[in-house]
Amino acid sequence: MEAVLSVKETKMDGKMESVLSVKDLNVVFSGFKALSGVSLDVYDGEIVTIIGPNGAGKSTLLDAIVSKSPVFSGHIYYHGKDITNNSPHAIARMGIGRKFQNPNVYNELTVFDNILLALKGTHGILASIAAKLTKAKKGKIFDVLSRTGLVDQAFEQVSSLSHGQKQWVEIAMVLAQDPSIVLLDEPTAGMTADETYMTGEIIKSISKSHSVVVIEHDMEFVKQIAERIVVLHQGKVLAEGSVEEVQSNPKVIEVYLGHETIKAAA
Amino acid sequence: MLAFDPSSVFLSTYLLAQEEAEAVAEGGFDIVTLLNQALNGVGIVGILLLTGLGLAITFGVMRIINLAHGEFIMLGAYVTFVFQDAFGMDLLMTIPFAFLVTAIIGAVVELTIIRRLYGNPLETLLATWGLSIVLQGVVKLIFTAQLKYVKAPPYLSGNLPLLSDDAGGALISISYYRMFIIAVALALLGLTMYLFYKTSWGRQIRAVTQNRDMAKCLGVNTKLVDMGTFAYGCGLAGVAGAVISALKTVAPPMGQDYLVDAWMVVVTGGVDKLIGVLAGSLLIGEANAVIAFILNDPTARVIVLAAVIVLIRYRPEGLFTIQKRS
Amino acid sequence: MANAVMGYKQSSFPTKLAAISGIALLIFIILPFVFGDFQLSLMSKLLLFGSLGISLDLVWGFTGILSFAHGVFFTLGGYASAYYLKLNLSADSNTYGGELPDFMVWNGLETLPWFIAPLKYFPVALVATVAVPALFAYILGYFIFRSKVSGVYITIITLAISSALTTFFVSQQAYTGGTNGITDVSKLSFLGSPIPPIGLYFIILAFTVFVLALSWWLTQSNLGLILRSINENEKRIAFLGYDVAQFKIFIWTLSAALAGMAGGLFVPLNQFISPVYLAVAFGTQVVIWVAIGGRGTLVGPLLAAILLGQVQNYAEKVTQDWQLVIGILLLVVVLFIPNGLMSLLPKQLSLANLSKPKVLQTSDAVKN
Repeated sequence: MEAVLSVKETKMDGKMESVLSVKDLNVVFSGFKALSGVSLDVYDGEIVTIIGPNGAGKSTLLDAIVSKSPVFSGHIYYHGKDITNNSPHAIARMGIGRKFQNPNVYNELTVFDNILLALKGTHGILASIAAKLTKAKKGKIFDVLSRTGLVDQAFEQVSSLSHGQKQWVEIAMVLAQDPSIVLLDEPTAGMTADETYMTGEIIKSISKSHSVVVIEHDMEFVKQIAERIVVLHQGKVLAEGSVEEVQSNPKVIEVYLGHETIKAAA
Repeated sequence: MLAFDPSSVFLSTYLLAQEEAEAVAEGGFDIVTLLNQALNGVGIVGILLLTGLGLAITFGVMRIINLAHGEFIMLGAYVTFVFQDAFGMDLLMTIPFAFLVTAIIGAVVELTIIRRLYGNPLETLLATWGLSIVLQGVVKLIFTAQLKYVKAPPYLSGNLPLLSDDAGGALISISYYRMFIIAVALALLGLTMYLFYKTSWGRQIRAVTQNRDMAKCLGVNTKLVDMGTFAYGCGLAGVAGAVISALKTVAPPMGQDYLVDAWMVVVTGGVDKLIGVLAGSLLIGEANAVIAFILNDPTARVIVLAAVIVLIRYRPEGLFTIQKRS
Repeated sequence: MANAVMGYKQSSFPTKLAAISGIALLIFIILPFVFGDFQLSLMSKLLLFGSLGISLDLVWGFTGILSFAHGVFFTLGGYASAYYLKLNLSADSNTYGGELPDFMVWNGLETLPWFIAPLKYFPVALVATVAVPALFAYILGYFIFRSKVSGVYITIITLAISSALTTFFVSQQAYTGGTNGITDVSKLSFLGSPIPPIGLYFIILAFTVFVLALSWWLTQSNLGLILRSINENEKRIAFLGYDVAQFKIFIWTLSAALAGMAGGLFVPLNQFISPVYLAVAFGTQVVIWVAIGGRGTLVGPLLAAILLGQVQNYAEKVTQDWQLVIGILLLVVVLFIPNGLMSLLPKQLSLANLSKPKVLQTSDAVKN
């Protein structure tokens, strides 16, 4: 109840309305509190980077947003509408796109077909039977492929691609969904330094037209893209702010950055 | 087309009990019929427990979708038949042989078929179904489709009267053989639980099913454990076949009847604990007997099957989880 | 294997595929004039079994739902058609001269049950052969697909359904004819005169072509792409905005409707229907046709049903152990040829390859 009230208050205060608003979220796995009382707002066109040690609940937060994990209590609002525990496909259709930690793509299909599948538009049965591959659709698919550098691989089967390329295929799929908010879970995992850098640039270009939430480990990469950072620790929000603010936060240094600062400074 | 036999273990045991009940219920005591029916239910529970136990190992513990389970029961019954027919052996004496022969066949099956398909439940299901057809075909080739009869030991024939009328005729009774089945089933359950929870072999099995890679790192020979466990499950099915052979005629398709029942028992009881198979047998056996008493047997079977379907639908994770084996 | 264009309609006509289909169809049109009566009836039956296999391929080969209940849908359609033919027996060919079917008289029924009576009329029976199995499948599908249950559990549920319905039909003797089923039915007539075997063959051939063409058309569309994606990873596709359960229920119901139609045509040919076709053993046969022919190939199950049926016909003259052969074949296919016999054909002859238009080679597509 409190969460609902607080949203109303924010609205009445006349502050900028968030695209995605997570209020006092609790996720429980058979007695284990994976998330406790997490609140987070994502505004239009910004990049929010979530960092935190393993088991901090980063992926669980994204899982709860797209309804992959059930929410125990608390609320998730999308453009002010309560979407808590809605079905995953309904949430996806509203405009929330998700990339999973390990590239979750269709290995048996071609890159082109993967994107076609993800393409925004009709998701009904009859529509899918009647669907024609129009020039506009093809154009959109190749637009997404060129943004992710996959044009040359368009008709290759995904299983033949490298790990990094598969990550891009999934990013391209999320883009094809044309969501208003993009959730990326460790998009650079398993990528070379060059690939990582390129992914950073892709994400920056995405943020021009979409809100982006990124989970990341690599501090170098975080610095490349970050505008606002949220630190999760043991299922709670530990700190929030710019890269500098977070890095100088004593709590963060204590529990998390202690060993990471070395890497980040290097 | 496979031979089609709509009757089941329920049907046959029920009909048997029906005759008994009719014979004794002429005095007009409804309570007598009811009690007899309840006892009949206990008899079914024994058979279900015995036939379900092997599957509780192969599916419950190892998570192998084994549709050839019924054929291992059938093989056990044939082993008993052969030893009795050729050497005039007492049924009790054939039980170890039934265990041994079916366990060896089980080991070969694990080695040649199951092992290739770990982590692929649907393919395992198909392959074991094919195996079930093959085993039936081979047995038919060797023994023909003719029905075979196995004799129960004379000292286990007859009934134990529990309640007599004035003239001394038995009103309520339970056959010694049925008591024997229950005793064997409970003894095997106890032995299996001891093996699984108290011995190092049991610890290895549990280690392998919970974390295969870790078990390997700790020096457990996972392949041997897999083979041994599957063979043990098949051996138990063989014992079930040996014991049951005297109740029914022995024929190649007989296993099919027990397959569905064994699956229902394991699914109902849940796969996490071995003791679940006892719970499943009690629930299904008694529910079946009671519904059959109120309505009739086929209806009871349809209702029990429908209930199991609903159960799977609503409690798949608790009763019916399959961890992917890697 | 998967080609680049599975997901959408072709802009060019697949000439090779059309040529091969045309030749195949021509052979099937000429065959009955070469065949004797026995072969004519056998081939009619095998075409129906092949259609049944294609219907299972839609849910198993494409969508990944292994069902042993397709014999059930087939048989439900069969019973609808059998009631129609039985109720239209002329009075003098009916054992008891009256309107009531013989098995109902034996079991002491005095009037025709209200739920069977309307099947006397052709339009009702025609609708029922499709609607009864489809409705049953829809309810069942709604129940099982809108849940966490998936994979092997679904398959076990289909086994239980088959077993339960068999017991049920056997036990309801007065209404279903029990173990014997419905026998001695009338011949299917058109405008008052019975349709000759060759007429029935062509009706069945037309039906088979319809089933094959419909299935091919559907699986070439975006729907096919979605079904294959559900097969590979059904969790992921939900996050792309697809209601997975809805698609499963649709293809499941459609498949059951096709199976029911095949069953409806089977009875005029076979002249009886019985719980044998409800039983798991028959459901297994259907699974075997698809497994051996090749999952997701559509043509494979049809060819496998015809091939196995023909071989069985000759083999049974030599050996009584045809089932053993089938079991060994199933084992070999699962262990060594998981994609079925169709995958042994040269690659150029695969359905996917034949229906691939030239227009979408990579270079062309990029230019677009």
